[in-house]
Amino acid sequence: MKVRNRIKEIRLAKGISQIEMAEALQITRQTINAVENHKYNPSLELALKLIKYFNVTLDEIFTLEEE
Amino acid sequence: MKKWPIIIAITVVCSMSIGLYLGKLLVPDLPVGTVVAGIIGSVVGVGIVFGTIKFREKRKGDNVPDVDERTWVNIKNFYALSLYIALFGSMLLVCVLFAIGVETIEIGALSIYLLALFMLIVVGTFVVKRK
Repeated sequence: MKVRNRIKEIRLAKGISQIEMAEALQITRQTINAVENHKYNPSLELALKLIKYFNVTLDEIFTLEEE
Repeated sequence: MKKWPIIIAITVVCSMSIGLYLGKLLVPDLPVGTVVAGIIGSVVGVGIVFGTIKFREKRKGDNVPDVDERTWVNIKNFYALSLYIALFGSMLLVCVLFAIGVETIEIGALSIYLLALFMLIVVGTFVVKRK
């Protein structure tokens, strides 16, 4: 089962750039790209940081894709 | 992060002391010029590294880190893979050498092989770090 996320969608809706997000969460821009393109699943720590940063619930960002 | 320069400086001084002690032990009449060149080389090397780090920090306009959790995962995966490649590659090399009739390996050749291996791993780490 694949983990899908709506980070890019939420980020763009809130008008946040990748650089701003990278600075706020102390991660690299490459990591944001990898997460947004579903090439890397963030750790639980980063996932919780993302939830706090965007002020949304877990299932608003991450969903488990049924195969 | 402020403590890193102190740790690096202590490590360099300790390594240099051990190196000098071993050097004196192995080659009792070690020329003073060689020792001085070694010390100056180490100090200049560390200076260049620190200078480059400071220069890059000043040039970078944002507060985005160079390394994060994904970088560490990538580096760990690279080390796991390179361990297998180094082990199986070395075994293969020994087999090939044995097959072509080589019965002994010189320590000099072995040290060059290990040096090349370490250099490849260091270069690989930098490449993986930037991905």
